[in-house]
Amino acid sequence: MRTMDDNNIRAALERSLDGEPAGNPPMTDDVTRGRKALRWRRARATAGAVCGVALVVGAAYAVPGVVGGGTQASFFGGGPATPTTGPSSPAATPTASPSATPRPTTPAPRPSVTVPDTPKPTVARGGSTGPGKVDTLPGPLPTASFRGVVVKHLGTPNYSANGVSYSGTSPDQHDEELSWGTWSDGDAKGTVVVALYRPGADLQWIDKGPDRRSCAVRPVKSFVDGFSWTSCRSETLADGSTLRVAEGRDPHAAARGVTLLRKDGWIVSIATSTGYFERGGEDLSTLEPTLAALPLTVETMRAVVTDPDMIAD
Amino acid sequence: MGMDGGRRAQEFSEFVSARRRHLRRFAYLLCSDWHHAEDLVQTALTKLYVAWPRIRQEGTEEAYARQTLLRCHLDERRRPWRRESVTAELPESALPGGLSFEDGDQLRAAIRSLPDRQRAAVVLRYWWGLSLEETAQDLGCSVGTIKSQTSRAVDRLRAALAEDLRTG
Repeated sequence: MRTMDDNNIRAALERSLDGEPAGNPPMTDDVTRGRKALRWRRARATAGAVCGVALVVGAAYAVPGVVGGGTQASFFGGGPATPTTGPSSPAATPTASPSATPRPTTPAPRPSVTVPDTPKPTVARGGSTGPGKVDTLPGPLPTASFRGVVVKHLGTPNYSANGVSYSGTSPDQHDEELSWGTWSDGDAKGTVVVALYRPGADLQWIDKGPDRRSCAVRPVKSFVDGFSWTSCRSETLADGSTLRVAEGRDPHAAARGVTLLRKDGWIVSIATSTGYFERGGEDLSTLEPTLAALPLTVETMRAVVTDPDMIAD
Repeated sequence: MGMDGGRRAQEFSEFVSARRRHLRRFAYLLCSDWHHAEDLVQTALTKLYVAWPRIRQEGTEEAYARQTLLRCHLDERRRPWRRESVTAELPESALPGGLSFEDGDQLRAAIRSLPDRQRAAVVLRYWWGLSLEETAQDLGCSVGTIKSQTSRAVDRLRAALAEDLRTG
């Protein structure tokens, strides 16, 4: 009796190959296909390398601080200049960065333009003042559609703009406008940041509050650890818009912010912090966040964000 | 250091002329379709050409071609559109009556009735002559798995053909 044991399986498999077509395709066909595949592979490798380099370059501009001229670095590092000229701690004091020469650039994720900062920041313009002194040099906002409104409410004698940053889908339309500067009046002094967002814009500088909703623009440099909005209350205005009033802090500075979320989607936010002014040459560990030392009151900030001229569209 | 194109083509052609038929037969045993076997061979050889300098240096041309072909086949079988096929005959119902043990159609039907990986294990072990370890490496599984798969496959073939012997 014939059975299929292990020894004749191969023979059986061979028999199953009966009916094999005669001949093979020309050898050149295999070589031609191989060459074509090789060309494709090399082309893909080249394209991949190009894309990789582009990604690295793009990421370098997108990630804050990776490139010195990045928006965040220039925005906060170069922005809120201090009137003090003493040494400072680079780790925690934005004043230690080259704040006198803000480098206005814009974030990479969206096409953007940045308008050069003219006039120069307070320190660069000779407004060097010691801690506690008043910076009285006039400093109009370098640009931004809301320049007039901010100057109107803050007053140029006390306000010195340091920089502005735009970003948007084209040079003609900015989805985001930011302005930062310093404000001082006697012992009250601090950083002031104003932000304006078109509907649907990426709110990259708007931090969330404890309720996980958009709260207010960040008034401190991005690498300052521990900053957060610790409270953020909402109120509905007569026109249906929402006003967010926030208080926050990092380990050494207090902050206050007010944000208007209009029904049509526009968002205006202003925030101030004692951070940058108070840190020039001082021992950071001795500083305590003090809301009373903030230069701007909620009422003043509210007046800024609710000013009908704030959005000039 | 890249290989000169002419040299690559020449060496590759030499290999293909020597092993192409063997590869196509191997592919046929896997898929039971000469046209599809030809497609598998072309795909494997194309990949082999791209990797030729490295493979040639390692001296693993045949193993690379075999493994590439096998993976191409198994990958295609995993695709949904390969899982079902239209056929005029009921598949794997039984061996056709009146066929002898030596009948190629009967044997093809018996082999076709094996699951893909069982069939691949049998072909690699008994037709290509690989060891258990080499078969396991080609199929990316353990030696124990190969043992059990080949055992089941042989049992199924034996049962199918024994039925034919009774009826024949």
